[in-house]
Amino acid sequence: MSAPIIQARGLGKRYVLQGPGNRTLREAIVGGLKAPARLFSGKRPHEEDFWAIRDVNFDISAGEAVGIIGRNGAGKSTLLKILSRITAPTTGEVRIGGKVASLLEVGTGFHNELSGRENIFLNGAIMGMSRAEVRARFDEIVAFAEVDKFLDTPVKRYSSGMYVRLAFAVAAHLQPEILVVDEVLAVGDASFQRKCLGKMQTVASGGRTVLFVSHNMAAISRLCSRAILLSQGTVAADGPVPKVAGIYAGGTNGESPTEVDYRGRAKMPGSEHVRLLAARIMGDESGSPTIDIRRPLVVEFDFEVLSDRYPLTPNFHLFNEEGACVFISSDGHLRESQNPRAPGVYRSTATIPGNFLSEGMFSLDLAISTFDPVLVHVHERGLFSFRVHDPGEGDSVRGKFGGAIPGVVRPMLHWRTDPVADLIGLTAGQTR
Amino acid sequence: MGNEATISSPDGRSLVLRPAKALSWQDFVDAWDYRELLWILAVRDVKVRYKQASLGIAWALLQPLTQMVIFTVLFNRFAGIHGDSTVPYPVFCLAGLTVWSLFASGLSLSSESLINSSNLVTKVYFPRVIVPLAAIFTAAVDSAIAGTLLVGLMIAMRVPFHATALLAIPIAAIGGLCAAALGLWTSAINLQFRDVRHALPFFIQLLVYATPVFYSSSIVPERYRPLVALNPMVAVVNGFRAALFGTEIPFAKLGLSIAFALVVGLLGFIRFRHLEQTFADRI
Repeated sequence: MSAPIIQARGLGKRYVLQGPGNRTLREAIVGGLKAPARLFSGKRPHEEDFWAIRDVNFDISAGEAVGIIGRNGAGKSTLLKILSRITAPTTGEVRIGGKVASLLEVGTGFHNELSGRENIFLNGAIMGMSRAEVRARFDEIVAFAEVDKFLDTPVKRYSSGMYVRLAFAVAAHLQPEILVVDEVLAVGDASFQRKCLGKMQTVASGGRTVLFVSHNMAAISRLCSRAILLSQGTVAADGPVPKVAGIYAGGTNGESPTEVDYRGRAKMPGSEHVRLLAARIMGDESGSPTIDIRRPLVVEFDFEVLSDRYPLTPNFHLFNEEGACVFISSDGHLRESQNPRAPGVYRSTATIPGNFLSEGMFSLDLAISTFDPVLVHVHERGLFSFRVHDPGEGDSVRGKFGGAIPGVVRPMLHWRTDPVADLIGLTAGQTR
Repeated sequence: MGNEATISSPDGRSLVLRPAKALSWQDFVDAWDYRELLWILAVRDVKVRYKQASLGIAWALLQPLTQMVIFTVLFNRFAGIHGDSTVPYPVFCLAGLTVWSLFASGLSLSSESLINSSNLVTKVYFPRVIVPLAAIFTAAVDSAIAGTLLVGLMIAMRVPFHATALLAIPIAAIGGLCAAALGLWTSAINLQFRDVRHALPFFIQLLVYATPVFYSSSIVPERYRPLVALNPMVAVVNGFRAALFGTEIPFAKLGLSIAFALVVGLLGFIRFRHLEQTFADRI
């Protein structure tokens, strides 16, 4: 690995709640008079500390695209503000080997009263571009933003879409060594989002470094190869996107197993009629809990039937990251499953086809039940969690689209589009 | 720091972000690198100031004109205060107001500048010192417009122009320098103590009486003059008029005003640089 372009060591930022920031002059004077007393007590009045980030360390190499994820309040924004030199760290240091452009917001410094043209120069200057540089890229910026007709209109008359396009266009043409992007892509229409992601991808593949902050794991995984997970101000995980995504979704326990073996354990899940021996999910041969959206996922469980009193139906419930049940599946439609099975060891296998689930995290409950009467013999909640990932190579349902796709599932349906020669004739009401 | 690994840097420039830096030569280099932004921010503020107003640029003329009329009526006619024997009182007074307004509005605009630029300060990096300095340029544009009014009045009242009149511009710039020096302090302190926003207009109002804007320095009794000389704007206002009306320019006193501005400005920049790191957290 080459020398890092960004190196953070022991980085910390402390905020003082209810401190000097909103202290009045009177309090400062009174506080100053009380200062000798403070020397003895060692305590500052009215001050509460809060470490937004603490002891953060990482190295980023030139040309890497790194996603920074974390929940609200995890310290993402603070880290970004330090990297963009908006605020200084309280402890530690960051070494940066290049020009940083940050997009923490779209249209920083835009003034509503000024025209699109004036704002391009203004925004460019604020982002550190010289007038000559802006002029050299002016046409490109205008073309990217698709606002050529409104160049001399004050931006207050722009639609929000146009405003965002213009703002991103300026930033995208900055050509810094390091581009820091906050979740600005959350705005703008889908086609523009795709364009932005595409632009950032070319920035990243052009050997420049991109830091992308988002809650949106899908966007991060399309753009970045590596992710840093922040949690309560510290680095909770740092590594390849699939691994970090798993930890992010899983919350606490880190990587979800792809196989659970109960044999040899003191207590196996089950009842007097059946017990679960082992279960596994199989996606990629690598055994990682990340599944390519185009590939099938096999859910397999081994169980031992102890009595033939009831029919036993193996089944599983699949939940998405919002906790919605995507579907339930069982082998209940099979004739064998509607009759009791002879005692013995069985293996059930179900295949979730490729090009069926949408992108994101899923968790799986595994159960063995009797439907008539209703008895639940085994119910293992959240046994597996896995992530469905779309590498975006153009042959998934996504096609060449780069934006967010809604939907609980994303099946690839059978489509046909054929030329129809005389449709125009038909709609005109003519008969043959 | 224990392990000093090397940083790869395509253009050979590298940057270390650490807590509490002192003022260094690099800060001046950074500010110089962003000189275009200074100009663009100043132009933006001028454009916006007059774009939103229906009277537009007329406001920049109306304000000094009204003040001049009021001062002439109140102080000259009613109170019998006289300016210089060489020029009519309205010209005397407007000359004082023109250079004074550069200082006064420069100082008040720059004091509020950081607070008004919170959207920039919290979202993007650039040397913050650009912001209060740009405000001085905005005030300078206003004063330049008011300057045309002064020239017009001089022509109308048949006040002769002297060759030294061109020196009035660099002398006025000293006034801008004083405003910038103080503005570095007030803009930074304003973020910490919003009291500045109340105290400053009051202070400027007091200072206008301590500066020979609508009266001549000659009416100040001899024993108070050393005290008055502590105000760097006294030499600026007197020097501005002297250059314009062809009397003796107080170069030595102007030199002291420059020295005042440089010392206060440099100390202000050190203080500013120290507070700068927490600006984004305070706004």
